[in-house]
Amino acid sequence: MTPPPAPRVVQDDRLTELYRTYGPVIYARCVRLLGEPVAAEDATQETFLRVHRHLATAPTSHEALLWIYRIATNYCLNEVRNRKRRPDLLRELPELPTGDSEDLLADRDFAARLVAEAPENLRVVAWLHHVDGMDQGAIAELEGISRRTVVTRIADFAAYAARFAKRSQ
Amino acid sequence: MTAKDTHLSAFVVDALVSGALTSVEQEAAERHLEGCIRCSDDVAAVRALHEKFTADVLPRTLPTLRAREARSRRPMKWIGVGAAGLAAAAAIALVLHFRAPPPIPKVQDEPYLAIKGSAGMKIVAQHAGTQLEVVDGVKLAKGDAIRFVVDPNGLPYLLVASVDGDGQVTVYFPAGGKESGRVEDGHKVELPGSIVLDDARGPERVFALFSKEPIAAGPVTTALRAIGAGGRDAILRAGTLPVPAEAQRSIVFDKVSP
Repeated sequence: MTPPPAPRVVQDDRLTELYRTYGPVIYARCVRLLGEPVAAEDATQETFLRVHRHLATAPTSHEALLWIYRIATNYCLNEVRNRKRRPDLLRELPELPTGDSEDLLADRDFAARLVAEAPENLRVVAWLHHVDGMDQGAIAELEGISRRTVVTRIADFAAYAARFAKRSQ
Repeated sequence: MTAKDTHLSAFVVDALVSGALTSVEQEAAERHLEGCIRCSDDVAAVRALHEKFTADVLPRTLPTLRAREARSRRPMKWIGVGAAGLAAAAAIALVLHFRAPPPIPKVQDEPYLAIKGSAGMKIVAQHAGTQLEVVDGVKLAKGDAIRFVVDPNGLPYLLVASVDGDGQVTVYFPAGGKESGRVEDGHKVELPGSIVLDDARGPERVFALFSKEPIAAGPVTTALRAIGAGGRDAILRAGTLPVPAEAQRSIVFDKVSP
């Protein structure tokens, strides 16, 4: 049998080039998700190691950015959950924003804190929508799920926020 | 009107700072920034983080990153299927093919494979000329080939099966088997053979079921068909199967047009 061709391996100089090109946006994304520069440095390396082969073959910078968002968002929100990097988030809230749950979630900082405590299946979509301000179509493209699923999860998170607000009043 | 309607999304801000917007999108974003303090602040903050990374973080972390990447890299050992074989199989395959089992090779050190204290599975794909680890949500295409690496963690029996977007259920290990097969113990046991993906589209979720005693394939395939009947969302959401396995792992990937 003819041996398969040697794999195309990302060489060191290519790795450096990719890190120089995409490291800044991964780092910025991780800082925003984790809220801590030191934790974000670790998360940047973890994300980059998971995603760099995709970045090397991404046909456009838009596609590369999708990969970065997909991997970094999941990784960092899992970190928030697992390591409790943001403990006592809800207790830090000085007071609830007034109004209905939509008003509540229009406050990005409040939404970010609430997402950290939300059920696992809602967290990523809720963060992308309420904190990152992405619309349903963009989230569906990013996560590879249907728009209908996105709508359902956003509605479920709004209900979760409303229950939280009711409990806290 | 909510903030989401009136402000640039984080994705657009990142794309703008990274130069990933089209000229039309960039002009629209810049017009918005002229009158929006909040988004201008967001852009300035992201730019500052980019500069901090380039000036400070990159030089400090690059050596560590290179070392970590080198440790995780290994020579490609694409088993049992040559390039010509892959192409031919991709051309004719309407279903997934399980190749004749060659000797079981050991995978070399890959620190990220180990799942301490628990059985684990990893899927490695040959995609677009590159080898990559399949994580949830990865997009693969017709003609890509995948193979399995497992860490049984002392559980001697394994059954690997999947359900795809068409509701098709396949038992990969033992290939077409009626019950679990024995696997040798070790941290990185590469299952024999590789699988060439067909042209079916949509998600495919693969389960690895580790057990002390063999598990019959029947209840497993029944449970997988029930998941498949729920369509794409059910496959994406699926957690564990109601079967007597001591450990379960699953990974879902998306089959798309090349």
